[in-house]
Amino acid sequence: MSDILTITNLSKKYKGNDRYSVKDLSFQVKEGELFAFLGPNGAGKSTTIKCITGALPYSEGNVKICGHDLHESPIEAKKNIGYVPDNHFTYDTMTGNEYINFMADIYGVGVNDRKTRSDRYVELFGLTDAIGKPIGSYSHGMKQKICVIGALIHNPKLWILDEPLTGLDPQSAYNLKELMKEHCKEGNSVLFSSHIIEVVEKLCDRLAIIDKGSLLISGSMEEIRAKNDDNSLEEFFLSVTQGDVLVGDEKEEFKF
Amino acid sequence: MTAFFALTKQLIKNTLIPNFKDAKEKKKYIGILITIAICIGIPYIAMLVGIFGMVKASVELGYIAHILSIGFFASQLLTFFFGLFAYVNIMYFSKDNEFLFTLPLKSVSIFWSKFIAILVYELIFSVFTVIPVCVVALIAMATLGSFSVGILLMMIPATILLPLMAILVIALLSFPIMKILQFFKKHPIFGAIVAVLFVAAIYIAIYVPIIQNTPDMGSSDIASGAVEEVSEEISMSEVYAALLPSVAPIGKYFYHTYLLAMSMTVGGIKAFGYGVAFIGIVAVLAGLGTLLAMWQFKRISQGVYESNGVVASSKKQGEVKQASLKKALLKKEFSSVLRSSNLLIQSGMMVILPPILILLLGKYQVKLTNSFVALAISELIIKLMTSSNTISLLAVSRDGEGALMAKTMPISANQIIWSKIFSGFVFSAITVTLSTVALALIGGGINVVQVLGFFISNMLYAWAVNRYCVYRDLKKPRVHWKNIEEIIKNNFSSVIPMFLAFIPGLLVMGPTMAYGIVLTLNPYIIAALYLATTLVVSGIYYLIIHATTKGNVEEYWQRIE
Repeated sequence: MSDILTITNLSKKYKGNDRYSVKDLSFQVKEGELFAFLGPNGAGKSTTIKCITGALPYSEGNVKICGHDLHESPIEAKKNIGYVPDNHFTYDTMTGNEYINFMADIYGVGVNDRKTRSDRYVELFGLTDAIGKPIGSYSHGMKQKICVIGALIHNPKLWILDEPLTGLDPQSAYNLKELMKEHCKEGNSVLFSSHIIEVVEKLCDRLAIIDKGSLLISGSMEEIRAKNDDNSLEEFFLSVTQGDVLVGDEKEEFKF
Repeated sequence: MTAFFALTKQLIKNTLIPNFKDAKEKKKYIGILITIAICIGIPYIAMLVGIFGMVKASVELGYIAHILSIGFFASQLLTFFFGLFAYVNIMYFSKDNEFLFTLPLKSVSIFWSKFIAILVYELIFSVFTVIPVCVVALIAMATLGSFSVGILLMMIPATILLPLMAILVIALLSFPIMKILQFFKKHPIFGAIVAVLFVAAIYIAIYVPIIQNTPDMGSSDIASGAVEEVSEEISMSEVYAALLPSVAPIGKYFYHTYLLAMSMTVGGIKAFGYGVAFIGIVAVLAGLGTLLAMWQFKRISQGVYESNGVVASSKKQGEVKQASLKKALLKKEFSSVLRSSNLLIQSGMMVILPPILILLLGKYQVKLTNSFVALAISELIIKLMTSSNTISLLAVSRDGEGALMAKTMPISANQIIWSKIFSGFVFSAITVTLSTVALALIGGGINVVQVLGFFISNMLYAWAVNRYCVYRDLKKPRVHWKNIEEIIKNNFSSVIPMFLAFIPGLLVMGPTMAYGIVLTLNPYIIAALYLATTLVVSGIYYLIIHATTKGNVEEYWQRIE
C-alpha cells in the first residue's frame, strides 16, 4: 500500500508563542487506511490537521499528500483532500444546495458526479427537506452534515475530519462512521481526530497519540495493545497522557 | 463554472446580501432600505437640481473641469472612508480565510476574488455619486450648446476606475496597518492606537492641502455679503460667478481627478491624452497596490487567525483580587473590547475621527464662512459618529453565547445592561471630549459659550444614544457566532441609529447655521442662542430615549436564546 499522507518532522510554533504547538511530528497514512489522531484537549491535533490542510503555515518539516509536497505544489496536494473542520465553517447565506455546488465548482466536479453524490449523501444524512434552505437556519448537527457532504463531493483520496462526531445525533454518527469505513474500502484514506477513546478503538485501523505537540506513539491497535500488556486503549491513553500516572522513565519508553 | 468564478460570485453575494435570520427580518430590512432610499433620495435629487445652476455657471466661466474634479475627488473620499473598514474586514479579518486556504485555490485567486467583491461593494457608492454628477454636467453643457462626448464616453470607466483607485490606495495602506497590528499583537490596545493614529495621519495628509488651497474669504465677508445679497436680490448665477473663481481652482490640485475631468471636457486629441494619463496613473497604482497586497495577503491573513487571543502574559498572573459586582461587570466589558483588535480599531476610529474631521472641516469652514457654520457641521459630525459606536451597537451580540451563560448567573439584567451602556459611553465621552478640544482649536471666532454648549449637550446626547444602541441590540442580539470578527463584519445595526441621528443633528445644525449667517448680533449672544438650542434638542432626545427604553430589560434579557 502506498502512502497517501506522509508527515516528516512537522513542527509548528504559533506567532507570538515561545513554545511549539507541534514538535517534530512524523507519521504516515496509507491507502485504504482509517487513521485516528488521538490526544487530550490542546494536544495539537487541530493544529496538525490545519497544517496538513494548508489552513496554517508551518516552517519546519514536510507534508506530502498523494506524493505532492504541500509547500511545492499546494494546489495539486489540496485537490486530494476533503476537509471537515471542527468549527464546520460554511457560508450561512448559501442554501445547502448552493454550498454543495460551490464546493463541486471549486474542485471541478462534473454535473453527473455531483448530482449522484449529492443525492446520495443528502438522503443518507436526512437533509432532503433542509437542502434548499439557508445554512444559517441549520442546527449545529445539520451544519456538520453539510460540511461532510461538501468535503466528499469530489471523492477525495484523503478525507480529513477534525472532531467529526461532536454534535451529531446517534443515527447520523453511525452513518458517518459507516461512510468513513466505506471511503477506505474504496481505496481512499481517512484521517480523523478525536478524544473519544471508544470511537477510536472501534473504528480505526491505525492511530497516533499526541500530547503537548509531540507524538507519543503510533501504530495499529494490535501493536499498541502489545506494547501495553493487552490493557485497554483507555488505560493506555491515560497512562501516556497523564504524567502523574506514570513516572518519567516509564513514559519515556512509549516515545519514539 | 471555474473555481475562481464560483468563489468570486459567492464572495460578492456574501458582501452584498446580509445574513437574515428569517424572511420576516429580510422584509423588515428591505423596508428600512426603501424608507432610507426615499428619505435620502428626495433631498439628493433636490441637491442635484440645486447644483445644476452651479455646474452651468462653471461651464460658462470655464471651471467645469475643476468642479468635476472636486466632485470626483469627493466621491473617492467617500469610497476611502467607508472602504477602509470593508477592505480590512473582508480581506484579512474574514472568518472564511481559514477555510479558503484549505481549498485547491491559489492565494492570488482568493485575493482577487475578495478584491473584486470589495470593488463591487464600493461601486454602489460610486454609481450614486459619479454618474449623477456626470449627467448633471452633461445636461448643463448641452443646454449651453456644447454637448460633451467625453463625458458620455468616460462616465462608465470613471464610475469603475475612481473607486478602484481608492481601493488600491486602501490596499497599499492596509499593509502597514496590518503590520502594525501584528507587530503589537501582544499589546492590542497599543497596536490599535498606533494603527488609528496612522489612519488619522492619512486623513490629515489628505485634508491639509485642501485647507491650504482654500481661499480665506473671512467670516465678515460672507456674513455681511449674505445680508447685502438678500437685500439687493442678487441672482444665484451672480453668486456663483463671484464664488467660482475663488473655490473652483482647488479642483486643479487633485491632479488625477483633474486629468479625468479634462479628458471629459476639453475634446479632441487633448482629451485622449488626458484620458491616457489618468488611466496610466490608475495602472501604476494598480501595479503597486495589487503586487504588494497579493504578496502579503496570505501571510497577513494567516497571521490574523494564528494570533487570535495572543496577549502579553500578565505580570499579575495568579493574583487573586475581589471586586464588587459593578466593577467585575465593567472589567469584563472593557477586557472584551480591548482584546479584540478589530473592535478596538473600530472604537478607536470612532474616538479619533470626529475630532480630526471637526478640526479640518472646521478650519475649512471658518476660512470660507464663519465659526457658526463650522460649529453646525461639527454638531452633525459628532452626533452621527457617536451613533455608530460598535461597542454599544453590539453590546449583547459581542458576548456571543456568553450571554446565555450570563443568564444562568444570579445577576440582574439591569446591572449587566448598565455596565454595557457605561462602557459604550466611556468611549463616546472620550470622543466628545477630544472633539470639544478640536472645536476649541479651530480658532476663527469660536468662543467659550460655543465650546461649553457643544461639550455639555453632546455628553448628554452620548449617554442617551449609547443607551438606545444597547437596548436595540438587547431586543434582537445575534449570539450564535464562532468568531467575533464575523459579528463585527456583518454588523448592519448601525444603519437605523445613524439615520435617526440625523434628526437631532439637523435640528441643531440648521438653526446654528442660520444664526451664524443671518444674525448680525454680538457673537456671544448668537452663541447663547446656539447653547439654548443644542441643550433643548439633546435634553429632549435624552428624555425620549429614557421614556422609550424604560423597563422590559429583564424580559428582553430572558428572551435571548
